[in-house]
Amino acid sequence: MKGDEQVIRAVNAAEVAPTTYAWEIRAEGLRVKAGRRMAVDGVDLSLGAGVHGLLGPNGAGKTTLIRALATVLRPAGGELELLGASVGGRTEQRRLRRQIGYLPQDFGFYKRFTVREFIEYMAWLKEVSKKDIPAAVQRAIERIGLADRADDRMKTLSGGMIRRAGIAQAIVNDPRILLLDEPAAGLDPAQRLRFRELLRELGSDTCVVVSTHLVEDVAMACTDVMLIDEGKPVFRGTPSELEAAGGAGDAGDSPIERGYTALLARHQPDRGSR
Amino acid sequence: MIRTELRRSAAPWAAVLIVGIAAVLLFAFSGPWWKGGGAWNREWTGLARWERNTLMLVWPFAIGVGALQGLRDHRSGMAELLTTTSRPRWRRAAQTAGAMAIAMTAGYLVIFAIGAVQVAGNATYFHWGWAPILLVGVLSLIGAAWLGMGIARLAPSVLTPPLLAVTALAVAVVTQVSPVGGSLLSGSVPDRIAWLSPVQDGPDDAFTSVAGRMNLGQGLWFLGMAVTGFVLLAATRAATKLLAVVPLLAGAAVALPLLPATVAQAQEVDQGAVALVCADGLPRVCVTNVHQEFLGALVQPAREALALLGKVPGAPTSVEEVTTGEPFYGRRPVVAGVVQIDFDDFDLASGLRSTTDPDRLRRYLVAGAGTPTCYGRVEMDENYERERAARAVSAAGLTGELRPLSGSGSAYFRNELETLARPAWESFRVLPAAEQIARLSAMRVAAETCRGGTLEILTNGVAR
Repeated sequence: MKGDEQVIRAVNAAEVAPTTYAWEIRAEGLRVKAGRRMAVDGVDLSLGAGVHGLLGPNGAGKTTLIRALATVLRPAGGELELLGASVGGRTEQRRLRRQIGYLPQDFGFYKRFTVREFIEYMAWLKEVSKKDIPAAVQRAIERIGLADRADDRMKTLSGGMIRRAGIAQAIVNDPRILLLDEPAAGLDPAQRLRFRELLRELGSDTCVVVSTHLVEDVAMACTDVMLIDEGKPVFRGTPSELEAAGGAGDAGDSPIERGYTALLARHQPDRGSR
Repeated sequence: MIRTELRRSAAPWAAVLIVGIAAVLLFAFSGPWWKGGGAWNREWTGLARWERNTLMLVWPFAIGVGALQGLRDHRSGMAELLTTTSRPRWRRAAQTAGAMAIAMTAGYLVIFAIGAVQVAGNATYFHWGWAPILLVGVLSLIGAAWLGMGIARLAPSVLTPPLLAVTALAVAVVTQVSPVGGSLLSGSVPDRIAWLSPVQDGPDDAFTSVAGRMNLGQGLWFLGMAVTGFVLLAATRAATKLLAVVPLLAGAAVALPLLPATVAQAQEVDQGAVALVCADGLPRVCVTNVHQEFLGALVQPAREALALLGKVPGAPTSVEEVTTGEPFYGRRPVVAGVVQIDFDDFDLASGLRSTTDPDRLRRYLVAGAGTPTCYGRVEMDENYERERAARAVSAAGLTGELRPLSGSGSAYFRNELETLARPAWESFRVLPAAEQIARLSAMRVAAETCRGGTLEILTNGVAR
């Protein structure tokens, strides 16, 4: 996954066809339930290519929002359009899912499969055409830096490697929408650096939504930031705008952390600085 | 993708364990499968039927291992990721279920192949009657494994595999059909229902096969079971999961009227196996097609025996194999003029094999002046012993020498011979030749009708 790596590959008609939609992800007044609780309550989104950071305290509704975008959960209200299609129709959903990559927060895998077999399996499930699978898998493994462990069993991987294998399966089908829920958890500092680089690279032509609580990652790799709390949007803007929201009096060790706490405190004054 | 599943799922070691369990059952236990012509490694049908008997343990194992495989998605926590993939669920289910079916089939066929190598060396009679029996066995394993996978998906608990396996084992045990019909639990389960279990009794002899309607009924039942299991595995809606039970019920509804109502109907005579093959020339010496490998060794002693019997008026003039098994009580039907032989009779089998005592077979055939014993296989009382003594003396009367009919001169048989037969023989041998023939003839008539007193006729000339 070197940044200057040149990849030459054939592109199919679908990839070069002009898009018929303005935003990869568009939501209006989106409401999603997690169990009985309305965990996402009235979110508006218009996301195109780029890396979109999703920030918020624990229980803010980040994971529920991402699960709705991944077509795991059905919206309980409002509108959600992915790649120009309203979410819900069965055949439409199948076409849509081919173009989504998803790393769940709790990423499960078949322990007895090797890394390569597992990613091949996921590519097959995402209907990557049979002849393209080996190359797509190899590329995904190399981009994520797991080439030396590709033929080891999944169960032998460390936590950070498993997270990277999870990212590899999410990008193996060259998705138009890439949803990563806490992708950097368990990565060591060097890996996080490389991961940010990969994010920037992916964001050039893909709509990447990254949910995280690592504020630093957002500052470094995201083109814009959404801050949500209790299922409601609190802030939307660039990382520098987020930084600007904080002042010297706000809690935090860096400008962006101070911005984060300031915005949350403004949204819910009674919680104070947390 | 099925190649990955064949390597990484439970399928490969399931196949290995199937072979292991069945091999232990067939090789390590003397069990019920020692029986001569019905042994698992003697004839093709016997092999297929005994392999079905190993399903007693293999079938519960199959449903358990299927359930274990069915738990994989749940245990790996992949359910959420998998729901976001585009390929329809049934395509994914087909890969896993397909790998499992291949493993079940391979395991079952390997055991058959191990037996086949031995059968090929033993059997001279070949026919395809074993194929449906084998096929139903394979179907029953696939049905069990898929049903296990489906149920484990519905009830994803670590307890599901062991519970399913134990339940299947209990079903297999309770539905064992007793020789007189009904389950072994004092007949409490009717035959028809008992035959929904794939476990078959091994055969007693090589002359019968499983009735066609039995194979058909069981085949359809396990097909229904497999479809239900697969639908449970592939279903994405609750309604489909509910409807999944329909193939299973339909299979049972079609199978139950087809399945035989009695033990007798469950078997059918293998006409190709029982057809008689006779040696060239006269007198007639015939064996069944399935035992024609014995004809060569039999024909010479048999004709010598018939020549000796020619001295006794009314004695048989031909030797033929019978295909009805020896009853527990009493004798099988007698055919006039025929010395009936049964290769499962220990005395005949050991006589054929005997190299130290070439006369033994001849002695065996002329015993009782060619009449069969009057006592069944469990009757061992004093009357039976007296009959045996009379048979030994009558054989001596024709061959000129008193020697045991059974065993290779072991103490037991020598003792038996000395206490009853020796005194009778000493008094018989000094009689004039004409009187000897007259007494043998009288004894033959008495033996033919099982009137008893054969030893007295030989010693005193009259029955007690």
